[in-house]
Amino acid sequence: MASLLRWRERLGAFRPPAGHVVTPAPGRLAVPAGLSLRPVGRIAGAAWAPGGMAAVGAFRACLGATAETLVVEGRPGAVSVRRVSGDSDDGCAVPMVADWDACWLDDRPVRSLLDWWSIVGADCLASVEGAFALAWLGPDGAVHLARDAPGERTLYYAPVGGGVLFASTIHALIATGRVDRVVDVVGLASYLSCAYVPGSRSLVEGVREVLPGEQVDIRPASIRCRAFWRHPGDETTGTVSLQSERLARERLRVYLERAVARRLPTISEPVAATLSGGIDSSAVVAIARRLHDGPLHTYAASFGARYPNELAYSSLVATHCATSHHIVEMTPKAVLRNLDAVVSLLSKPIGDPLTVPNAVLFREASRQARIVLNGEGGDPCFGGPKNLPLVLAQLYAGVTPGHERFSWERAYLRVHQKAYDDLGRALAPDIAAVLATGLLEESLHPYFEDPRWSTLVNRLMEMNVVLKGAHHILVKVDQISAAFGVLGRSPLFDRSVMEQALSLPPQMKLRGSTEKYILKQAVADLLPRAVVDRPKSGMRVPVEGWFAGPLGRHARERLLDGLAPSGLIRRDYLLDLLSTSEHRYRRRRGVKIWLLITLEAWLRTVLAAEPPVRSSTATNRP
Amino acid sequence: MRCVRCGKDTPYRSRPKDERCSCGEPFAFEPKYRHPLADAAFAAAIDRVSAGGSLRWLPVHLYYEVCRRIDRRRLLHRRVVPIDHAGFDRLWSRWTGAHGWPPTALADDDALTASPTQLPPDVADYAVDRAVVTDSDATLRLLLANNFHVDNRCAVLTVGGEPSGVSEAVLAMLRRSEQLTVLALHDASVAGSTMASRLLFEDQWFRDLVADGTATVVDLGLRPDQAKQFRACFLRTDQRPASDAILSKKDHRWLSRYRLELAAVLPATLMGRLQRTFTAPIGAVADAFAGPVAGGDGDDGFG
Repeated sequence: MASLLRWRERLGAFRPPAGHVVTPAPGRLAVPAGLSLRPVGRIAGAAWAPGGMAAVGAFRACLGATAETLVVEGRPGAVSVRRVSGDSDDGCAVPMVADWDACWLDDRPVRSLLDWWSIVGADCLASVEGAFALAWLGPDGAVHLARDAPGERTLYYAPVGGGVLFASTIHALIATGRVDRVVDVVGLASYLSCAYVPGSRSLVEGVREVLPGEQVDIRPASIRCRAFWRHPGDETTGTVSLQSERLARERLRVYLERAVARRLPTISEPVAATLSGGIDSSAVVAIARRLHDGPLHTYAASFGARYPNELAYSSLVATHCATSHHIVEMTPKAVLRNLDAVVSLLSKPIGDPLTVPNAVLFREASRQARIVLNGEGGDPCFGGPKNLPLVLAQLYAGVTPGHERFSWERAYLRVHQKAYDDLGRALAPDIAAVLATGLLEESLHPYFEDPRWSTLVNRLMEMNVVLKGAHHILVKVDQISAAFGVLGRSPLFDRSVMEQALSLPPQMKLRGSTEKYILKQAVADLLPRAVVDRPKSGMRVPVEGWFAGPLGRHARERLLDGLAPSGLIRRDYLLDLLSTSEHRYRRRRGVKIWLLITLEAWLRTVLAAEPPVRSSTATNRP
Repeated sequence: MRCVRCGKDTPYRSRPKDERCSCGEPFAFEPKYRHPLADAAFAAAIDRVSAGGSLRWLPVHLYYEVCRRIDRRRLLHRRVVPIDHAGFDRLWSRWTGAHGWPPTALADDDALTASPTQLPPDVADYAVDRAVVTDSDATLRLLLANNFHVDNRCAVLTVGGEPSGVSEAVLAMLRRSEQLTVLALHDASVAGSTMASRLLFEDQWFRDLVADGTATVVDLGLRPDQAKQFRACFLRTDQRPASDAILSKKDHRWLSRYRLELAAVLPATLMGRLQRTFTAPIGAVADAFAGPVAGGDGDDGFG
């Protein structure tokens, strides 16, 4: 497609704004340069790539000491495999590499690569729960990639010149120099609409992501993707009796406790947890307190005295559960100053201001513990504010203008409340023309046609889990926690918990206007009433007013000097967004500005980045 | 006279017979002789009504903004509209003939009948806590076209039962709410002045919900006491309020002479006001026994 933009050609025109160089400064988040510090390593690999050796070298340089690499050379019928781990080139015990954490097959923990090898040999990946991303060589020379069902770990892959490259991070793929640095325009439109890039597309053309619960089989002539685990759906929608509700509640409690237990260490070492004070993180902390003998450290973010309510709830839970509670204060300026460092960790940009506070909390927690629990998963599995607006959109769809095809999909993108309605005005004309055919909406269509779901609530929840869960929440947890050498674990995304939550009748999740009804019932005895009865909350970063003051100047520089020359977003749209004219209706400019400065930071620090330089005498990091 | 495309100013003496700017863009109006506004002023009116191109609107909304501008330009300082609907329609067709239909403008001849869409069975489980009820089809179209219902999680209906095909399902969802807020929006007219009490006292509306305290009806207007904020937007009427209507003498007199349509409120102002009322705590509950139907929280903010 001739209309697509070649990033490299514009690199000359594109200079980072002054004052935003990522160097450690007092009080600034110092993110270590290597992209992998955590106990189990990252994956990189190359298959059939001519010049495979050079590609492998680039991978290792980029990923740091604990990368594991699988190199497959030759043609089918004459294939040789080498497994390279760290700096050493050991013999190939099994042709497989794995990035995993807290995995269980039935009731036994998965302990080693040999366990994984027998699992894939017996084709029982669907029975494994936990976080994993695998790459292995099949008997016929095919390369297989697999990703766990919730999506706690991930893999990116790119077919290149007769072969394929794959890695845990897009940084590694870009660093090989064999992937063109061209922006995928559908990915760009997805990002602007959702604040993340859902599905298998990335923001780099040609680079795909393995979907949650998917296995990708790569052969010379074909790439085949198939789901090895899917939720069975909600075929039966029976009526809800008090009896069935009580049973559901008890069963959920059992699964929740097991999910937390499997993510706690077996010894009494200190464990950390993020605690916003909402029902999700509070439930996890309360259960962890019951099951864990050692110290429990909890962390909450604060943006200053103007938002005391959030802190009151988290402190209440911390006292109730007798944890060591740490409140981390952040100013808007500090959040913005650390944006580049955090965004540079992400393989796909995430335009949620929470990423920076998340990173700061991980950093603090890393001082005390190597395992950090969180409450992620409560919204996708048990609640979700998007449902009602979507229903209203569909009810009125016949009346509103422009209701041709893809009405559900358009409504779904609109209710994210980001920049979907601005796409026509915001994108460069050639990109907008490509998207005018409906490519973005079409990519969502299969989800709305899926016959497994008969109720809207459960359909939307599953979409939330496989899209937002796997491409926003869990990758964010994984990629940011890894940088600080901690293991981020999300019990509410446990597969059994998720599976049960999605099967429950809608009335147990949405009771009148109360969301997450059944979750609240399941843990009501563990928490103070005030926390259980609290209306919809959740950590929110108050960006709306940030860009009116001095931060507006930073935003201006980043957008006009940094983003506009890239040719992706129209300059007049950016100018309009930055203007302080009152003469607009509900612009949500803070959200959109944040979205765009994150995009600019990602383009600069990830897509346009040079691979880090490693000296030959660098030692392995622990 | 400034061209709306290239911005060049062509003084009267240089204006060519074919009424075009040198860049090729036609002029819709010739203010020296025939038309009450120049192109640039009309374009500015469109910009205002569309909130800088970010909102959809109907020609009737532009009508009132044009009326305000004409009144200003001629220094009339009148309450009543300087041109009637027919006069505006002529201006509007000249404009669209010269410059095309603005992308944010809506056509006002689409049917309001919704074909019942394929809805999943569990829609019956949803409750909606907010509703806007209006007597104006134009307002209904405005809100729906701008996705007000989606952004604010609220139902939108007219007292006449539009959109037909959907209003029954929507009313059922409203009745399921445990705390319903209904905002009444109507013209300042004889019919409009009875709307809020209809919502409060008719069985087909919210009488039972108001009685047991699960619903609150807020009358946001337009009411005669708010009319003084509007310039050049009054229409004349010859209707009379009903003899048993609960109205003050002043309001009665006003309603006997004038009518003020909701479309006179700028779309951005109207939607912003609705939104603020939903999100702010409700100060005054509409109490039909406290004289005329009480307004919102005392701050009108229209006009």
